[in-house]
Amino acid sequence: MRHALRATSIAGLVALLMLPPEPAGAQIRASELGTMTQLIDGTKLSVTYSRPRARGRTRLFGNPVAQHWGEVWTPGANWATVFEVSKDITLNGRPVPKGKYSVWMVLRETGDWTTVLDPNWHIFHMEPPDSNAAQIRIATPISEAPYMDVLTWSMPELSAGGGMLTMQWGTTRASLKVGVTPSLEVTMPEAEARPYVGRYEYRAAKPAPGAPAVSVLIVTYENRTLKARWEPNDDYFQTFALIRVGPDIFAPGIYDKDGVVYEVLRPDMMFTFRRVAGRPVTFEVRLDDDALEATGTRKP
Amino acid sequence: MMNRRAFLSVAGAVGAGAFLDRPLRRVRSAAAVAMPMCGAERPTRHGPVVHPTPRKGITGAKVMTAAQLAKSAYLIPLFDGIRTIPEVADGIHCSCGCAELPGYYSLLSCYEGDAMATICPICQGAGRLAVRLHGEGKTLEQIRIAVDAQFG
Repeated sequence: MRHALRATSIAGLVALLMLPPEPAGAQIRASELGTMTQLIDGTKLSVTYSRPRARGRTRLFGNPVAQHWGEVWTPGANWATVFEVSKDITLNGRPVPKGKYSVWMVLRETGDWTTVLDPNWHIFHMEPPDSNAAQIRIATPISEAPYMDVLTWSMPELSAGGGMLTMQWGTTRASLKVGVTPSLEVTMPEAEARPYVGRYEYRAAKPAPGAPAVSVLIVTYENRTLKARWEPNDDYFQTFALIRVGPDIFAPGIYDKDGVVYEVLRPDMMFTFRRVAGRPVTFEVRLDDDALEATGTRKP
Repeated sequence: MMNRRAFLSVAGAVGAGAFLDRPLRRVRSAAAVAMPMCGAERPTRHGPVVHPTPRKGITGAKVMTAAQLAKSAYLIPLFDGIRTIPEVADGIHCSCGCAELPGYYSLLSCYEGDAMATICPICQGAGRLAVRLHGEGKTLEQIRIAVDAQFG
């Protein structure tokens, strides 16, 4: 009997120990915490916010008992939504210095809303800040979008120079156009670019199977930009920008169908020109592991 | 047009030639994803890089040895190369983000101790560039400019 009792106790203890551990901080929240982070050309943006759900509510804005017109509202829940940016940017054309801000929106029935960034970033949603000189106020267009039950900050559009930051809840979307400071200058003064223009014999160090060992690289100057293309044409590169990143050192910038550079192959593929009597006459192409990819020699 | 994924896995037809037709490309991408400090957010890209001054009497004695690199034998020549130019590597800032780590001083630091250069393609690339350019007779200042142009 005693043995049976002891066996039962031990079995119970073992069962207790085998229960899955519950996370210490687990709580069910109506508006769970979320983050959105995006890196654009070295500039990091993040939005940290509690995410309310519509839960069947059909009128999320302009509701006398919820987000009413004229209200200064944080686009989130609980503690105010926090926007942080690692470098200076613009939002809808307004300069926003790098820093951390609480985010507020002045809701209007017609016309743009106003997004307010307040350097005091730790504020509870029930206590919107009074207007002050440190705040940044941004006119924010509102549009209708496919229904979204959970309030969501996202960046549905991205480009080399920025993107579109949106807040959406229900069918209401607020849009903030982000502009970042480009890390590279694509254009180049003509007097500095002209010496590179010409035709170069391009000799691959290790030709790919089926590819010719020698081709021609044609360097031109168009639209204030030093450009190049291979002959015969390369399907991936097409005509690409030669973007100066150092003295006689260039990285290729690949254009999209709209003629905008969408990717710079740096440090992947670097063109380094060598001069004779002040004139660029040869170049080397090296990869990010410094392997020699090709050499070029100016053709007469 | 070929997309980047295809581009990275297949050599281009003409101009790119053998460009990127190397296993290292995949290693680089995987390492960059795996290491948040490494290349994901390079802090120097919007401003001039401040390079460290080489420390007097610096040596390559702490650079990882061939025995320590047994599992990454392909890196032994690179580490050996860095060991021969400590006064150069110690004057170069590494832009991968490792400069934020405690105990870091210069690119040389990337090759010592736990040696981030065993896995970081930016530390490796900057190191290879420095070794080659030093071999070609370039000065520290010229090497810094080339490293900044490619990795800064």
